[in-house]
Amino acid sequence: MTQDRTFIQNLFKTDTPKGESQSLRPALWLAVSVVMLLAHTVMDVIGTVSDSFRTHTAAQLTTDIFSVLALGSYFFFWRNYVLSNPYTSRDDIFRDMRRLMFMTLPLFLPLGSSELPSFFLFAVTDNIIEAYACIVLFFAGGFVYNLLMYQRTLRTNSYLRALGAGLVFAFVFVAIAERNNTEENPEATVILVLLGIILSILLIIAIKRRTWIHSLSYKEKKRLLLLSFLLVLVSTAAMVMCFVRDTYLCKSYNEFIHPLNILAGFLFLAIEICCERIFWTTLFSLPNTSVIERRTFEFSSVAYLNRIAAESTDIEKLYDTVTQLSQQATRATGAWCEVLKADSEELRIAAMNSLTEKQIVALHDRHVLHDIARNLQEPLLIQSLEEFTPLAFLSRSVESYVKSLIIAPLRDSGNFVGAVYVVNTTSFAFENEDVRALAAFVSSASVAIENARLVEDSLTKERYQRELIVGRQIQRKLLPQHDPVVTGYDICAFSDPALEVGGDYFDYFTLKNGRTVVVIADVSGKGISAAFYMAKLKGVCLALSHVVESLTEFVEQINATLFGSMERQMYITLSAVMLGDDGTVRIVRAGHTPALVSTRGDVRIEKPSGLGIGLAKPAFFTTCIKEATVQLDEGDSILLFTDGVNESRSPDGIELGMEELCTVYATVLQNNSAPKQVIDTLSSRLRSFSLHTLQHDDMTVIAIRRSLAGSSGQKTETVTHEERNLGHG
Amino acid sequence: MADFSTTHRTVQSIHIIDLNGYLDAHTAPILEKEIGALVEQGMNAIIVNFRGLDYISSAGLGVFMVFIEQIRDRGGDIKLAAMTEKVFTVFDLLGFPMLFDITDTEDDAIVKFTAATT
Repeated sequence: MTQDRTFIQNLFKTDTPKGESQSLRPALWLAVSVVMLLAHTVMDVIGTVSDSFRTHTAAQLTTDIFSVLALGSYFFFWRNYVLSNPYTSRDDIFRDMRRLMFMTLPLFLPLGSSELPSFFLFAVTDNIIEAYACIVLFFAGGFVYNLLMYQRTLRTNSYLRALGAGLVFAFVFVAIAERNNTEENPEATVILVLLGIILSILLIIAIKRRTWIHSLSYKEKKRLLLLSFLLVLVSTAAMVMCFVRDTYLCKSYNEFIHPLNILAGFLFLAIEICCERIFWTTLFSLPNTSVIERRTFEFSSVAYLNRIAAESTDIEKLYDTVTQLSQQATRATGAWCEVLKADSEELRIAAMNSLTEKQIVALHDRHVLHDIARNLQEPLLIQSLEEFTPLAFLSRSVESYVKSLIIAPLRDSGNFVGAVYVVNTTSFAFENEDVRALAAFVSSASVAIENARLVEDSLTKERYQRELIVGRQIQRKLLPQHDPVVTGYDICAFSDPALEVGGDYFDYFTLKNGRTVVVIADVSGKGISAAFYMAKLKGVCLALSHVVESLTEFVEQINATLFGSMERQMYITLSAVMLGDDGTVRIVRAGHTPALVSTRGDVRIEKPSGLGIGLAKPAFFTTCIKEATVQLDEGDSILLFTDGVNESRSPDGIELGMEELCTVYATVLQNNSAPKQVIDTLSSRLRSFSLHTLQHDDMTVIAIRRSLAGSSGQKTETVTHEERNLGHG
Repeated sequence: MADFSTTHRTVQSIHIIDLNGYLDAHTAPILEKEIGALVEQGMNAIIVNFRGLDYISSAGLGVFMVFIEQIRDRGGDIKLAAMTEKVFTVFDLLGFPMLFDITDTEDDAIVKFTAATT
């Protein structure tokens, strides 16, 4: 801001973009002008004391040359200074008006003394006064220039040029007209008066934009009024003194350079016109100040609100701001804001100002206020609580702090989301203008609040999304990372969750007797809760695999461990397959989708009796489980899968079905495919069936093939994820 | 999302819930709430009629497990009736026929209830 810069700093600053060397220019010109002024003064003082020197033409000429040079260099300084320090705020105008006034005042000090003193000391003083008068003149010019440029229009520059040309013309004209005689020249005076009128009109046209005055506060306007009035007086007096010969000021200017008084007179005229315009504009805009102040407040408060809403994610802070600004906008004695609780139709106090919660609760006696607020479309003004029938019963108990109030509903696309209440301790304290102001403010507040809510929601959603991704990564690690190596069998698995985290699970375990068990399971439901149960299941299986020997026992123990620790509506379907060295494969099905078994090219559904895990107590569960045994020869195979596979849908909603899956499996096997190829072909078939529509359920497939006949007796080896991890430390 | 709706009837003091549409993870809480309310009221004989149900998912099946123990402990039952073949397959795979009384028609279920009380 300009106020922060000191006058001295301004001296050395230029906005000309030509580089560093420019910054010294104003100071340089100032120095030159000071030197020239000193030289001029010296010459003049010598002339004053020595008559012979004074009458010498060459000496007089030198004195004049010095004064012109001083003036010229000062002009360059001034130009640099004025151009590089334009008015950026109204405060700059105030500041320069004040300075101008105080600078002009000393010019009146020698008022009345029309005789120039001829002493040596007075000659010096006289020269100082002359120089000072010139500086004031330039300062005045700078003020007019900057004032016009402050609210520049397209034509401002042309006006300025015309004004400048007018001044130069007046100067030259008088210089020529009075060259040989110092008496009044009536024709010249008429021309000068005409010129003055033209320039005045031009100036009046040039300063047509004075909107900056309207938006001033009442206090500032009063100051401006006083300042401009004083300046009008001062500049008029100075102007008169400049034009009337024989005044000290006129003589001072003329002493310096002959018709400088004309230039000074015109400049003071310009100041006078400017200040007069400012004066009248301020005077006339004074009555509108309160309206303009209110509008300005409304605009700035809405802007402030939006900034708060944009910068802060704290919605509570927004409620506070809305409440405070509502109170200020209506000049109320208290205010509070209520919003709907999350997922509820109840209102809560979100913020309050100059009121206590107890007072607000007292106002809500019998919920009348809430009912009124909920049904409002526009703000409601209650001028007197006593005379407002629905709330009259309250008026006694709350009269110490509420006698009138405005209720403004907060609505988001028509839906009631809350309300702002502003109260006053006197009846009939609010005007209709207050209601209008509050209505305008509250409608933008509603938008800001809704935006803040949306931002909050999306941030929460984003956080959940990230957590789901982490969940998925963890879950992926719970599944085996590689296919196991089991002597006599080829095994390949594939798993793909529908959501970020799924409920499908498969794993390989080695039981206490050294046999490999393949487990495939599906936790009911999807998402996070399913994933938790899946992790739990893995832990249970891993622990049990070290202590049990038979497959049925393994599954029964899983149910026994998990039953009771699961929510009632949750259950797990599971199939466990134990791979015997001699090709004997045992299958236990705990409610899981049946396995497909292919022996000698025939595909059949193997569906031994069984119950889902977590559905029944261990005793009952045991009675339901029947173990099936299948003998596999070389090339025979088993396909384990979850219901996401046979229930996968085509885009028109048709389910694949078990029969179709059997057919597909049989076709795939005809090429004597290895499990890896079976999985690849199956998954591509499934993809083309569902045509890449959104996957309905998790999908897991495990293909097992008996690879070598007669390899029985060899030790089986499984590599599960954990064991690999353990192995690697 | 396919819709799910229920209608309630009472036949010979047996409460009958007719299911319509899709019963899955999204719609299961609706049914859970309704059965929960009935159990709370002390209703002991409930028949769930599946005639109008097009689809049931694993989460949908879980609903029936929530209250069965509570209602059986006080001598009541929830019977499931009139399932389409497809819906029955889902129940069957999971082993539900071993846990629940699943009848072909609603009348069979009513008969079983009345036989049990007399």
